[in-house]
Amino acid sequence: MSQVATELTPVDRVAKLRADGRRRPRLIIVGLAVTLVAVFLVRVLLGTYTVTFPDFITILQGGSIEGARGARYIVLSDKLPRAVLGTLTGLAFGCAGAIFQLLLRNPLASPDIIGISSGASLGAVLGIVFWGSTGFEISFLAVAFSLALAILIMVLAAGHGGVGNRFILMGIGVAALGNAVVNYLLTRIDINSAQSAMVWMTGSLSVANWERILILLIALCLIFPAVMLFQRQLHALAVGEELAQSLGLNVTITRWLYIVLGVLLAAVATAASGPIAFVAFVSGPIARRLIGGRHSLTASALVGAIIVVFADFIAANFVPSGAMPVGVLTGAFGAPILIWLLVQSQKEGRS
Amino acid sequence: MTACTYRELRIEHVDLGYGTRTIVKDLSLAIPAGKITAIIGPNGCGKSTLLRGISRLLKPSSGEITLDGKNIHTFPGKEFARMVGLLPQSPIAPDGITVADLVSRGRYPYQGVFKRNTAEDDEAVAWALEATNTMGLAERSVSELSGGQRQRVWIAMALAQQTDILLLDEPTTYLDLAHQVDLLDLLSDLNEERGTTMVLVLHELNLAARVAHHLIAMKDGEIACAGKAESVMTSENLHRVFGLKASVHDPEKSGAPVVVPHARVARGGFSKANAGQAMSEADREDNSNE
Repeated sequence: MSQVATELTPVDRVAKLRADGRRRPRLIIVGLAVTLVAVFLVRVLLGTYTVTFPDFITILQGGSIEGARGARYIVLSDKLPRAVLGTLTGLAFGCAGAIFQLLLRNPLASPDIIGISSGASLGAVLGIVFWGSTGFEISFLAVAFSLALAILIMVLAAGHGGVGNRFILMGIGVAALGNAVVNYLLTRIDINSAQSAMVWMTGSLSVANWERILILLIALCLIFPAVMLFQRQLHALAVGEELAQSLGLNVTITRWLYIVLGVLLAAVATAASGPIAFVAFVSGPIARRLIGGRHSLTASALVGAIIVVFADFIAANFVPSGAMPVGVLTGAFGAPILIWLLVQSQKEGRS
Repeated sequence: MTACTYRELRIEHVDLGYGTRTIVKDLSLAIPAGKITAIIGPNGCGKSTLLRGISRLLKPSSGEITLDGKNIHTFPGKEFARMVGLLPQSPIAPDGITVADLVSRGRYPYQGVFKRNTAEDDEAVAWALEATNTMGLAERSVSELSGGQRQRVWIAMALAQQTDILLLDEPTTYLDLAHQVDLLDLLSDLNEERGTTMVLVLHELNLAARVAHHLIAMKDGEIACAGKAESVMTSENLHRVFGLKASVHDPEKSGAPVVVPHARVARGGFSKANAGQAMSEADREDNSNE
């Protein structure tokens, strides 16, 4: 290959390298999108109440299946909404995690760790305990409290010097504080409320319904275009603040824009399904490994969606004692992946 | 590549600092266009702070810095970035980035939200890679390069920015002597070929004298002396600015004098009295620096 390369003029060689450099990320993204569609179909068609693809199309078109009238109900009010909600929250968590990891230049930076999810839990549990909230009230409180805690973290982390590590440390502190309050509240409420709060806090797609999906979809339709439009600026920040600024980037605006976008993504997703453990955290690094070291918000979002939908499929069908919240499963698998990532980053650091 | 436009960079009665702490005080200076200027001085004298001021990372608390007569803070970000480039002391290579990709980051000021890489960008990147002799590394990952190679790649990135003025903050740190000389020769060549105005902060006095047309020695946030190497690099000036006892030679009569610090006076042993004297003198210098 290098022999061919030396025959090219320098300019052609640079152009070729640029084109080559984009091929792998594009292939991976297409591959991930195909995988997501496959996993989505598996979630909807297989498992309890297996439906064939032609039957699925018939159901979507409003018909029913002869000899299995229940199938229509199961698909339209359980399997399909869960798969759609799982996809949307997965995309949001995966993207939010990658934003924070790229922005704060630290693999530990993810909404799970830096208090955004704790804020959502705090809002939800407060609602359940004090106002007996259900459904959308819980979602609203979750968004409001995660935004409030995010602002608190920003205020604490503000001041001159690099924002990166300060933000993470303050976030971990605020997360601990939020969790402490949540735990206190859980010991003070009756067992039924506590259980519904716990299910919410673990992250579950069993709450899926079309209204909820529509609200999340509208929110994501507003947030994702902004995230994609200014990606170049976000990536330009990665050379360090000083250099980025001397390249003409408005560092302050870019940084705060993406912190707000990342918090919003994590908050609306958490409000819809509860904080599904570790998804935001592991999606970015997995996407990076697939793409060959570089960060990609798109790939990370797709990985997040694949993880959530697939984990929900397993949790709903292959757990002996019956269905289990998806967050339990992602939590159980997330921990070993976290350890693996830490080992990998140690190796990278050494080389 | 096209020649640079000579731009007039002036610093007028500028105070620079962090918070309430002023580091550079009432400093005035004109940067000679098309020449290499090196700023030298002891640690904490404000050289890097001054460079941060010129590159707009730090806003003067009083006075102003002008480019062609206009206050530098009035230019839009990208417009300024097309005229003045900076290579900071420790830039960060993004994860997993290749050399060609990193160098093309220098084209950021020429691109917009919808205007992506053009043929012009490819040309600039190719030229920068060739000029720094890093074309052979183009597809390598930056993380696997040696220190000397990596510094060349960073310079290539700064060159791809195609600015008329280039500011470099200690570009030779962490390099061995051969690579330091190599890198500074590269900068000299670029200056001769394109007429790029360069301002370097350098620690290594002999190399500063070798590369720079114009030397500025700073002490305590002020200019101690400035001019050609042979007038700045004198035994008296070195003692005044650095508190360093050294002799200055110009064996090749090249106008690039060489600093030779005086031999160390043994502490103990025969010349106890001398050593004591030298120590107390150095202490006095230190105190006056505070």
